[in-house]
Amino acid sequence: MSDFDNIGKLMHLKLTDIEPGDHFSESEFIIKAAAETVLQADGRNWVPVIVKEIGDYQYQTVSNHFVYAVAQQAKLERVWCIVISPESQSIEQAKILAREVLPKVNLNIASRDTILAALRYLISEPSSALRGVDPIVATNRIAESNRKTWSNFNPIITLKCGITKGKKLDALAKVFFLSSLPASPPLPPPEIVSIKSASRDEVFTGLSYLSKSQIDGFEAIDIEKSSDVIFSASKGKWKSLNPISKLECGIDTTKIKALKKVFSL
Amino acid sequence: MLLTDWNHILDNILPDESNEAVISKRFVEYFIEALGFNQQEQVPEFPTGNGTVDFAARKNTDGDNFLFSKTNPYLLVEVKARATGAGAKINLSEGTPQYINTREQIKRYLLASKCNTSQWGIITNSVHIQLFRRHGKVVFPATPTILIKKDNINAIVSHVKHLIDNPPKALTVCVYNNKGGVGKTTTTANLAATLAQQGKQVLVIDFDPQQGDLTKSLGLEVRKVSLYDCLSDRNLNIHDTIQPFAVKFKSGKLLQFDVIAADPKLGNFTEQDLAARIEKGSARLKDALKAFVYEYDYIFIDCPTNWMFFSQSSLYACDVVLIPTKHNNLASIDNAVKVIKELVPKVKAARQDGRPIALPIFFNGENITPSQLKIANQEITSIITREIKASNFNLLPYFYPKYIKSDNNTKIFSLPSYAIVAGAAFARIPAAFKDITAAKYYLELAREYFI
Repeated sequence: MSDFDNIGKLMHLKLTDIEPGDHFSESEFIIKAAAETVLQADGRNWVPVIVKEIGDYQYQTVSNHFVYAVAQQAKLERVWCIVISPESQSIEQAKILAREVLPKVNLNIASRDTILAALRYLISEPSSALRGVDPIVATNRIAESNRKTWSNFNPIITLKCGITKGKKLDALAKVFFLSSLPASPPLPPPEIVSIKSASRDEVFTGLSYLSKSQIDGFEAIDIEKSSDVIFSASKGKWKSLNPISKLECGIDTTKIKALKKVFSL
Repeated sequence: MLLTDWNHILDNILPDESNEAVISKRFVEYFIEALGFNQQEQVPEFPTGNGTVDFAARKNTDGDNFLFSKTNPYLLVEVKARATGAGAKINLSEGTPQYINTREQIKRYLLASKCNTSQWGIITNSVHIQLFRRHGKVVFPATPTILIKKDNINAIVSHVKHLIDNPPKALTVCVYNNKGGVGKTTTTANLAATLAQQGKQVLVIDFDPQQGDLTKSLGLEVRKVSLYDCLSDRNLNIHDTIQPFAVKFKSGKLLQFDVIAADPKLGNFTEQDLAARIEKGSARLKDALKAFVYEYDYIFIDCPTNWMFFSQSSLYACDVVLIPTKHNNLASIDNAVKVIKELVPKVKAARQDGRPIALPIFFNGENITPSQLKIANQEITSIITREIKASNFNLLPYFYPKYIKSDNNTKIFSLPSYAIVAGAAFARIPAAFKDITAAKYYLELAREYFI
């Protein structure tokens, strides 16, 4: 979000500049009646369409598709929108907040309370596949199981908590996901190179090792950008690796120690 | 044209290659060729009239072969090695001493006597590269400093080629100081008049809708299609916002520059409904003015003092920022520092095209006694020292552009005080069009910076 873009701003955009995103359907009655209320407010939609920028002056709806459909029905020239950042997490969040998709929790690490709340939600849904399951029993057994390494929901069947293979088990995927990755052998560290004389590719190799090995939070660093920044920095007067923390490339003082595994001065 | 195998070319250069000739042979010659200049259209070791640049290039025309005639270069290339003979890296990323030296070198060559026709300059060591553009006396970045990688080299070539094949005509200048009362509007109107007198095509944009002083001082009014209309609706023709300001002299001579008048609608910009139709916020004006860049020689933007939409847009849309100050107004000098050190870099970071840059400051419209000048210089020297110590930011070139170590030249261009200039607003005509002395003063200002 800056003064030089649209992100986060409420904008009055031309309807012709906005492409529809996901497929959306709603009864003709609802759309027509809603369009009428917008027209009664001089064409002002008080609930905005959520859009992302897909090109220069080009947008696509990512959420509140209903409002977009209503604006089209009302033949508005411009529609009020909020432009959100195009990252997938932001779009996912907008959809969750608009109640267009359900939020999901990681069953590998979810707390007991979260599991219980999620199961209660699933069971309470009309015509729920999980009807008859006791949420407390199921939660206790799942919470106490060794679920950290689960890569699918099948182990739940063996917990004998009323969740059986088939519809019941499949229903869990509506609110749970699993993210445990099979353990891989640790990467061999690259040869230590001098940061002062390292080529850009050597800087990248070193940072890439720290990132892939998930050492000291390096997995969260944009290593392409950091490699460019570190390589381009004036390093002649460096007496340690500490100045890297001042380059604003995401590597702060807490990460300098890890750098010594791959770089010397 | 055969596709150049950049992977092979880049693999073929040692990471610490210290021989400049090798970089020229193995990288730069291919690069110049990829930009569309064949062997007959490039000259190595070109004498500029102020030193020898590594390469000059220009398209051949019928009966004129650049390799033989060696006149009127279009593009200059200054090459550096990747490392010194002793093995220390030569780092051309922005801000390093080597970068600054090389940048000053290409500037010197572009402005040298035998390069009057040159419009572009490249500095590279095959690790970093930057393109500069020359317009009259001004040399400024056309790209940021780019780190060359195998996965971006093709994009760099096509971007640079696109720029030099489609050279913009205009220099866009924003006259700005974060402090008011320094004569921004007067400077804008009179520089426009002076450059028009010199035969240049000039467009002036009054982007100060709350005051609209420039528009009023020229006795103009907003057209049917206003600037706000064009900022909010891309389908309108921005040419419809323009009106000529023409003066017919007794001699029969007609002088003219074009004006986009201040738009009172923009004065209500703080209203949500108006702002919500200007997409990209402060980046929108630049896009709206795009067509003019190929039509005028100079575009001047006059904007208000405060750092908000209007001034941000103006800095975002311009190539260079001209900063008037007053020697007897410390706040105007402090605010000039703020523009140079904070605001220009902020906009530059958002734009990612190496621009805008700040031009050296000048003292506007006050007579200076030697003792007053001494005090002002003491103040400036202490500001320069303070900033070097505090943040390692070198303000020297922005205050004393002619300063070199061997010659402590601390001359700051100064536009003398002149009553006619201040009084001209009532005559609805810039003083430079009306009065010989005023015309002379502003011609000196134009010569100092632009022509």
